[in-house]
Amino acid sequence: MNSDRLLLQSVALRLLESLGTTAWWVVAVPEGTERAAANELEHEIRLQGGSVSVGPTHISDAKPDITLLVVTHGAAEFLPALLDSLRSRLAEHRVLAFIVSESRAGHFLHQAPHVASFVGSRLVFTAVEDDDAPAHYASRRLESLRRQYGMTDDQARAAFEAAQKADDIHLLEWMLLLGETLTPGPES
Amino acid sequence: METRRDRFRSQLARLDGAGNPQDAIDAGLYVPRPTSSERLVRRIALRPGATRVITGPIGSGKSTELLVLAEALGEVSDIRAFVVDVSEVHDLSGLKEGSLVAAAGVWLDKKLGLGSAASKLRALAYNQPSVSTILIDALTKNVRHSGPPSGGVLTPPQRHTSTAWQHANLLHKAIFSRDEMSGCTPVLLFDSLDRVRDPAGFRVVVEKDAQALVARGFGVVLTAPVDTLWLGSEELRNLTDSWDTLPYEDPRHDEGARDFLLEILRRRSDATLLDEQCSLALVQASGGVLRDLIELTRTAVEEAYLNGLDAVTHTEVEASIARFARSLSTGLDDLAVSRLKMVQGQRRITRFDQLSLTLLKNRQLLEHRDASSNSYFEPHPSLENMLAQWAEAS
Repeated sequence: MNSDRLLLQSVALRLLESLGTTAWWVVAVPEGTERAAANELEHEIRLQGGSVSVGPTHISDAKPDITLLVVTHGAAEFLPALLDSLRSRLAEHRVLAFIVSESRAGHFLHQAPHVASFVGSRLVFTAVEDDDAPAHYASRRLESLRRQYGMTDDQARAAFEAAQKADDIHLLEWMLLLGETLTPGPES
Repeated sequence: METRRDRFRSQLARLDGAGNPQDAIDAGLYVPRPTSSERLVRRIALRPGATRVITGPIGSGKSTELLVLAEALGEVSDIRAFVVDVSEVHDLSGLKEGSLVAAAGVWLDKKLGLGSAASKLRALAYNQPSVSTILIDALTKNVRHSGPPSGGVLTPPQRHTSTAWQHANLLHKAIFSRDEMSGCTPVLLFDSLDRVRDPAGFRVVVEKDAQALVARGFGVVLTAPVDTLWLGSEELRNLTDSWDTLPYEDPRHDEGARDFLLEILRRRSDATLLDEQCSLALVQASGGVLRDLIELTRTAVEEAYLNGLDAVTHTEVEASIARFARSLSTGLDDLAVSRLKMVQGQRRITRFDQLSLTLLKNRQLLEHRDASSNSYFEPHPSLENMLAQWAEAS
């Protein structure tokens, strides 16, 4: 497994965290899992209350919170040029994620230099059904969450179960990293 | 009461490098460049009815400078300036004669309302499918959209004048019949043309559209395709009255550039969150690419938030640079790496082939200008650690 991969749930949370700004992402996944990854991301984003549309079949002009675009094998050759020319109009979709296979991510970015400039650092690697977070990532994030909230894992669990902080995206991430089943209290 | 999360969110909103540049100007985040656009303003004020080009590499701040230029020209009593984002009304892959004037007509109608002339102007363009239709076609059928979505321009057979001239005449009547335009020269500043991939199409609109507009009393300022920065464009330049380039400022060899870039961060970030040392490290790593500077800073601030800190430290700066470098270097092959290393040693490019152009367009290679406007080149500074590792590995 690629040691730099993020949990798919963490990617969904990162997309949600970028709401309110203009953020374009490239989400690189193993070859052949682009569609499955998009579906899984859609599911996760909806679970957190975000609105999302998934392209190519359901690209919405209604400007949902997040737009996911699956870059298919055939389109990958000429799509970058098209996206470059459409950049201003795409900017209306403020949080936009291109789901592309790991092997084509570099080509995709190099062929669309204007889009790549807007993506900047937001290239992330993930995979469907990676049940375990990369160990170093999970421990680093858990440690920072403990420091940030000044809580132990048990206290965080208790807060989450009591739905005191069910609207807090980072508490939710905390639970995911601990491998908890997500069943916050009735208020959420 | 403002929470820690609110504080970071408000900070990140000021580091929205991909946002609308007008919003940044309105929020007071604009910092004048060391090589000021004042000279260009004076030149246009002296002779507004001309064709001028302002160009620069990706992320150098062209769109922002055009908006500031338009604002400065607005202070000149007999000039009215309008920024036209061509890509908003026209598919850039289909530039042809008349496209630019038609785009200006559609844009100005949207902004000003051109009354009865509007229907005639719009009739010269075909219906425009939505962005989702174009993308769905591209992604599901793997086909390019046939022809420009908005820009097809019909040439009525009974007329013998050129398409661009017909459009320009129509636009002239629509604009100059307005009371507020009395005694004024409208200057049209066309943005987004840096994304045009067909130099021949660009040449046609410079030769036909810009000339027709100037002849009908307009001033024209164009951005140019990014390729023209490095490919022979002398012939193209000769078609214009002036050609200005906005290079990347070089924070490592130019103190004025460093101060300019630091000032951008001071305007956009809270000093208690980002100190001068961290700012300087981010400025150096940006290589003077404005959008990259904002992006690097934004990532460092995000990292600080995720790490549970109240301020950015060098750890977050380094993490941000590493993340940025990872993204910038994804997909580079051995040939590209050896070209980067060669340029790193020589500070010049000996072969302007496809590889060099691709590296320049993608900002893996940056071009700077010295005080005498001579070019020199370097790999993007964020890639230096990676290049050192590659050198060790090989």
